[in-house]
Amino acid sequence: MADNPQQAGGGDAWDATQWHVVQKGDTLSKIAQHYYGDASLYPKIFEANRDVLKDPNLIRIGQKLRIP
Amino acid sequence: MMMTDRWRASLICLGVALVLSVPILAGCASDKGPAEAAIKTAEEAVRATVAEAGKYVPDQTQSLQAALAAIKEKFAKGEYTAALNDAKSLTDKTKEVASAASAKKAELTKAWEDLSAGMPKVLDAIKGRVEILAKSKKLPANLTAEKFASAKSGLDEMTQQWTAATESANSGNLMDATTKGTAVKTRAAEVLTTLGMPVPDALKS
Repeated sequence: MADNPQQAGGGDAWDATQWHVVQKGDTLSKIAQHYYGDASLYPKIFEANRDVLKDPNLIRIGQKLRIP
Repeated sequence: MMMTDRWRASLICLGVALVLSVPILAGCASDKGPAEAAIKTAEEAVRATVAEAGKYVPDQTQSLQAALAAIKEKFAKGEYTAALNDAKSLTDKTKEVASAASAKKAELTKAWEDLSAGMPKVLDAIKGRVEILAKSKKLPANLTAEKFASAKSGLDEMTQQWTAATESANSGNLMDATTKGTAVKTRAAEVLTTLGMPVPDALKS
């Protein structure tokens, strides 16, 4: 999985939020494995994105997820 | 006869010298009162300026105090005209220093406002990531245990230094607050990089 960090929109020069754009084959576990080294920490990503995710097993390609 | 002529010539020279020096001495002595008044004015101006300006342009306020001491020394030596002129200049210089301090204060106030609005968000982001990684069974690629330990200690240092910066700002010491805050900003950029997180634009300048 390639890093695809992006700054938050809105022009906040101080925003340190890390974003991940979902790509084909991604799951929250894989994303957690990539950023945290531990797939079991996927709930951290799910909780940080409750505004856009209803189910941790359902993510869409192109979706922007906040990586806490 | 020879000695008498020389003696006479010497007396004439002395007389001429005395006649010429009287106006000069009188002129110098006449500056004593104005010099005294000018020094008093300059001293009051320096005293009024140094207390506040010293927080923002300490080098310049030290120069003012040194200049005032030098003027008093000249006055004590009887150099009233020089003391008078220098005292007048010092009063003008004091106004310039007060103006420079005011500009520096505005600059530091803006810098601190920016830092205090942005740094807490950055520190929260780092803290959040460190807390998650501390629970990880295995660290992500490119983050060794040593690097993670360094990031954790960096977070502790930054948290303490940020608290100190905030205390300085609350006590009115904006110079110290911005110095400490800027150091936190620099360290935060390093820690973010170590953790593999994006560095915000504000931390790049």
